[in-house]
Amino acid sequence: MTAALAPVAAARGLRHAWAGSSALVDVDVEVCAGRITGFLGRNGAGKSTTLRILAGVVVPDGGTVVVGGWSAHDPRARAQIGWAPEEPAVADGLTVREQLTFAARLRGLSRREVTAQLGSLLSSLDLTSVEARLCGALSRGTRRRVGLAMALLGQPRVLLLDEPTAGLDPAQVAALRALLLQKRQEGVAILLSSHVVAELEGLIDDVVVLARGRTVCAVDRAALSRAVAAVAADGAPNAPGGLA
Amino acid sequence: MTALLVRELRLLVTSATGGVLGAVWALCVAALFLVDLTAFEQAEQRALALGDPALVALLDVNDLLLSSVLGNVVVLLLFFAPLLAMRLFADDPTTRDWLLHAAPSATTVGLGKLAAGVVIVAGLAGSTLALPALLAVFGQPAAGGTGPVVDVAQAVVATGTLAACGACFVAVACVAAAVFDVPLAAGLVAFLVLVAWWLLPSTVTLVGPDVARWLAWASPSSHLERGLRGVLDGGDVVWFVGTFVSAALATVLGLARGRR
Repeated sequence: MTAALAPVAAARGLRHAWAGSSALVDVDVEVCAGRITGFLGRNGAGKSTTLRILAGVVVPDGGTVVVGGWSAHDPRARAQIGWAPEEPAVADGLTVREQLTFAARLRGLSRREVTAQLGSLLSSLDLTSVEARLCGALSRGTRRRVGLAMALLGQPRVLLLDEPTAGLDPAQVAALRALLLQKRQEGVAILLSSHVVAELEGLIDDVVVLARGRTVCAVDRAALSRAVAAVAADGAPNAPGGLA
Repeated sequence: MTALLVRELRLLVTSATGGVLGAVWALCVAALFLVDLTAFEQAEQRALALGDPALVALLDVNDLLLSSVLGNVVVLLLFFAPLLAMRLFADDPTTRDWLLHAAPSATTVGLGKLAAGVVIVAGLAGSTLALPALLAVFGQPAAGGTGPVVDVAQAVVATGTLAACGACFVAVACVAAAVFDVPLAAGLVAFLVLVAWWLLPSTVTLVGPDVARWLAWASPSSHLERGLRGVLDGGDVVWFVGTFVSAALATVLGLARGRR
């Protein structure tokens, strides 16, 4: 799909089973620097499992995962990835600032780097007003933004975002889109999972569609638009827009 | 690792679980101390009534009172260690995954949480130093007695042994917490393992004397007993360090196994 660009992170032929049932059968996905890849599929298609494998927290039963030239489980690979799971990994008993400071320190940032990055992140994600509040007292949308801030710490080369707009209001979605476009400008490779095609409109450069644990489509946006138009003209019922 | 240590301590100290554990610990230690102090005073009165100086000289607060209290206090740790480990590893699956993703390795996560447990246990054990301090400051000699003569060195070694024993208990409990996904199951398994481990020497009637000797060595009881008397030897130190390191390693392996 992006033949001219070398992927920063790529997974090929991924297979994985949970408790005997196959979650992933044959998944290929890659993300390139300065591009946003939409990762589409119905709930249960295997998107989150693929992201967890790319994030290096699950070892797949088969297939290869390479991030920046290293295997996904190599600490050097994980250091290049910012992962925001669907449910933010925040501790209810910590304040927003404490949570972000902890996340930054865990990622190996120095105190000076923490101070420098925290201010701009809190500001860009509109978290400044809640930085002293306990994470347990935050709304779902705010917790999502804290999770996103955790993923952005350390200026990763690859961002893995699992349903990042879930729980956000329209203004927050707009701010998130602006932030992602800015990150794309900075050369970050972004893989953004969603089961709602409409929310990716005007944002993504490439699309990977997953169905029942298989990659069924991997194209750039222009090709997808042509395919959608062709399918719509043909009157087929299972157009990609119907994933939601 | 330091970041995780600070996080876990912050979460534990400010949580309801931490408050309850601290209060229960303080109440139980105070109660055990009062019971043993009363018994010691009664024994001292009886010895003085008999008028036998040799018998009075045998009434050493260090051996008969403080060691006894700490010997009972360590049983509390059999209950506390599984609760502590459960709390330390009670992160939801997403948070556990994220920690394994963001930390340099599973070793960082395992040792960070274990270190927090050790700090807490060391703090609890250290709080028992208040007992010899109370005796030294407020202890009054009975008529004809010499009063409490607290052996500071013995008190420090005994407290250190209590902390080492507690650290081993927490490390063993952390193995279960790292392996089992359900915190309650982890806590129950850890408690049962710790009790069985503690009671190993009592199996002497079931096994031959040779095996019993090995079992007694494997159990924490004999090492603890020597430590509480202030006579910890090199073999005991090796036992405490070896047990802790082995359990820490198993905890890390258990966490790494989570990347399934």
